Amino acid sequence: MKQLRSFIKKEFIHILRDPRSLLILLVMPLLLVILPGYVIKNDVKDIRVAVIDRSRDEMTSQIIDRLASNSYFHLTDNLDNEEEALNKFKNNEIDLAVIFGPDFADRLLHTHDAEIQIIADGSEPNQATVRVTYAQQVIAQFQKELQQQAGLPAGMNIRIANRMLYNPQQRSEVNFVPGIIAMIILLICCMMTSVAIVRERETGTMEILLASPLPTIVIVLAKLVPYLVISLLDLAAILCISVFLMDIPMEGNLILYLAVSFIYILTALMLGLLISTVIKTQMTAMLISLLLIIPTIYLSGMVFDIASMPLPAQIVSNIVPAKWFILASRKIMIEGVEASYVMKELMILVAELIVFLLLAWKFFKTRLE
Amino acid sequence: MSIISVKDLVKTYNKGRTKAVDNLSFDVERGEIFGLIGPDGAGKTSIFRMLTTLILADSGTATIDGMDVVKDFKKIRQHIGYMPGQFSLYQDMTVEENLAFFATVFNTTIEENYHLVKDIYEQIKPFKDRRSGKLSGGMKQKLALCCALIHAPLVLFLDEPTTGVDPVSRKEFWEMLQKLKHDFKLTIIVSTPYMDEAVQCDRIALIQNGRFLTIDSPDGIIDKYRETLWAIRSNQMHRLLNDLRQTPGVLTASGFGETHHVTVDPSVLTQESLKNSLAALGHTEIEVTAIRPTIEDCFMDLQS
Amino acid sequence: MDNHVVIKAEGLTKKFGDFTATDHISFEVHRGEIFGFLGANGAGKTTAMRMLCGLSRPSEGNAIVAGFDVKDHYEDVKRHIGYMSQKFSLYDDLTVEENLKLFGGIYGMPRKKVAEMITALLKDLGFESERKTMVRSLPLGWKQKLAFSLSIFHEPQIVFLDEPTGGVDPVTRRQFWELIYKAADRGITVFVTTHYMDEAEYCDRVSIMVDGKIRALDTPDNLKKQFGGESMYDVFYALARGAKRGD
Repeated sequence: MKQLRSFIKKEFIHILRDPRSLLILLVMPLLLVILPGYVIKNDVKDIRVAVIDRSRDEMTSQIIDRLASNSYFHLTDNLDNEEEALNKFKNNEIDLAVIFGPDFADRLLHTHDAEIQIIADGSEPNQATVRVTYAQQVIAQFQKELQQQAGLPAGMNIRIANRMLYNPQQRSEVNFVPGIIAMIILLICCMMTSVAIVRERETGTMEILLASPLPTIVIVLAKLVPYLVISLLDLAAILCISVFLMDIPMEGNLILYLAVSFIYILTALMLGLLISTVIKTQMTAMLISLLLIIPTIYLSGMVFDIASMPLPAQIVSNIVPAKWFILASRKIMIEGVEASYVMKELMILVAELIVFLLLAWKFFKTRLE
Repeated sequence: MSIISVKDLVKTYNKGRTKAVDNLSFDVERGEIFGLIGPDGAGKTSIFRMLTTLILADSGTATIDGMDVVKDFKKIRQHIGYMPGQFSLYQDMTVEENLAFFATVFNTTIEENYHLVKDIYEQIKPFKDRRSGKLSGGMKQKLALCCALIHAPLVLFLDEPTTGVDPVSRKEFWEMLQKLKHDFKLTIIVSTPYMDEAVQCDRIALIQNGRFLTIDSPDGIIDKYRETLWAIRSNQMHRLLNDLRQTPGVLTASGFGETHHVTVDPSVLTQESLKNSLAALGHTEIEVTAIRPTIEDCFMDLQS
Repeated sequence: MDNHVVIKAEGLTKKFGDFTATDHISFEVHRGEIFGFLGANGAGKTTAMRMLCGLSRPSEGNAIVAGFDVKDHYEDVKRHIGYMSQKFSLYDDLTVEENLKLFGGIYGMPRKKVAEMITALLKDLGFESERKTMVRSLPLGWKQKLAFSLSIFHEPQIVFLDEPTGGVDPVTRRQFWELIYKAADRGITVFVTTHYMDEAEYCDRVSIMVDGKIRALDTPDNLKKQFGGESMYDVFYALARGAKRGD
């Protein structure tokens, strides 16, 4: 026990004294989550907007004027119906369509429930979100001024309904976050663990450790524990950012989600251990781990829909652990299902975990060759 | 009983194509310094790794204090100290952290066996908070030796501890080994490519291409040398070497620093006749002395 | 050896922060000379050698190597010197011939001339049968001999050898030195470091560095007289024993 403790302490020393490791372990995961969600919002300008005005009254023309005179917007058309707007979207002639419901001014002043629908091209979700937000701001500003000028009651309201085209379940982060978590865990557990073990072999320290009475299990456990701890820390940080900053829902049971994540982390750790048993240099360990990232990105359903892949790819995707973790995560986070609904995914992960463990155990050498 | 007993040990690589260790047998006695002396690639490291249970022999057996290196490898690992050829400590950990870590690895503490490492560790103690990667070569070596000693091993295995080390540090290192042997009756098995270190060992094996050229005490090996050996110098050392090789009766001629060592056929050549023939070739300040061979002379003789 | 100076160091200094690795060293080396550059580990030999090869810029002082100063014309310096170390010498995964062709190419030698030289060189070394052998599978001594031949393949004025014979067997070590003599006879200046003190005796002149400074520089015979030692080992020991720092 004392051996294990001091070995784990040593592993943490290695990590804490290596700025590059710290960068990969602690900074990179957060960047990977934050970048797609926040930073890569392109500067949105020259938004091409078409309007469909079913009221053609005082109010709607005022709003249209405001849109037209706003530097962000560029009013292209005044259309008659949605059909025309859809065609314009298809031909990439507009980014946004603003549709005023019938009797706009009348309803706004009397029943206080005037309707505006904003349709956006959702193929670039981040930009689309920003464009819609800008349009909403223009309308909100108009509404505020109107209230002040006319002394209208505070209950007056313009109902704005947004619709994204092509990508109805639009919130990309919601689908993205489970995938990012899957990838980060794979990177940390697989790459960092295998590199940490292979490094001892390359620097020759493994030679001394193997020639000592230290049990193999202690060497292995001590290598795995720090990365398990760090993965859990990263997971917690990513979840906090996702839920509190990015409004990603956590519909299901948090404990259930953590349990699934824990199994996935163990699976990735075993994969890292397995790699380290058959690889000789840190460089190869890193390359192999990076190669594993590719199927994780392409075959896990993180980016592309598995159902629409060619059959061979679909079959191969079944052995990608990330696929099952992402499936389970989405079910828990977004659909809020109970444990029984993710049993299949969980069982597959556990099975892979056991296979990797047995293989690693078989290949791990108590000697140098 | 010998503390190390090796019988018919064979190790090949590349599916048997490269014979690294070719049917070697030897014994190491308790409390002696045993040297494996030979160039890089002679098979020294393979022998060390088989004895330290790190690799398996193709055939043959070896025991350490009666324990078999294959069957009892776990027991052996508790009782040996090993310093691999490459500096193998954690460079990002301090001197003290390294020593404490290796103490725990061997289920002991620094305090328990401090008397063993005291003399050596005191020399690096002023730098105990320095990361081992930032130590000088000599200090790294001392730390590595401390780490290999901290669990009071029965046998200390040192694989080329002095390679690439300057003569002054090498001398210091050997003084430490002599003291360990003297104070604690420690058995030390050490390999080196430097022939001049042979005299520091009680017994040595000269090794080349996986085979022993001979095993004996350094004096024993030198006594067995059969050739007539002269040390020769003149005012033109480089030309002298070529001239010697052209001289009838000279069997071999090799540079040995300030003199050339020459083996001769005494029935053809006397010291006087050689001097005369060299003088005739224009050499002056000629000195010819019969000498006792060095281990390097023996190695070259046995090698050919 | 003649009086033509091919290396002239004047107050050559390299500082890393407040640590002076090489401390105002000055010396001259003549054409065709075998110059032994000795010192304890950490005395500053490697740093000095890197400056002379144009790989590291001096903090102070300067050196003229092969007619070019190492501070500003290091590219010219590199073109006119050869370099070989124990650690990096040849590409393991190329054959003997491929290694030779590669270096011929690096120094921009005409292909036809390279082919002729390779044949001559392999014959000289007795390596003809190894032309297509992967360098990886050559014995260390052979590799070192080949690496040396390669380092003077482009007929440089000076060749720098960093511990070229470490770990090599006694016979091959001597064969190696005979290659060095041959090169020196052809007018190539040899600048060599070694930990074998008998090899120091083979040098025309020897310098011994201690703690960043050159503490002694003369022929082996004169050094032995000066320091009252019987061998170069005694001289080295007398000087380096007092060294304060290691590497």
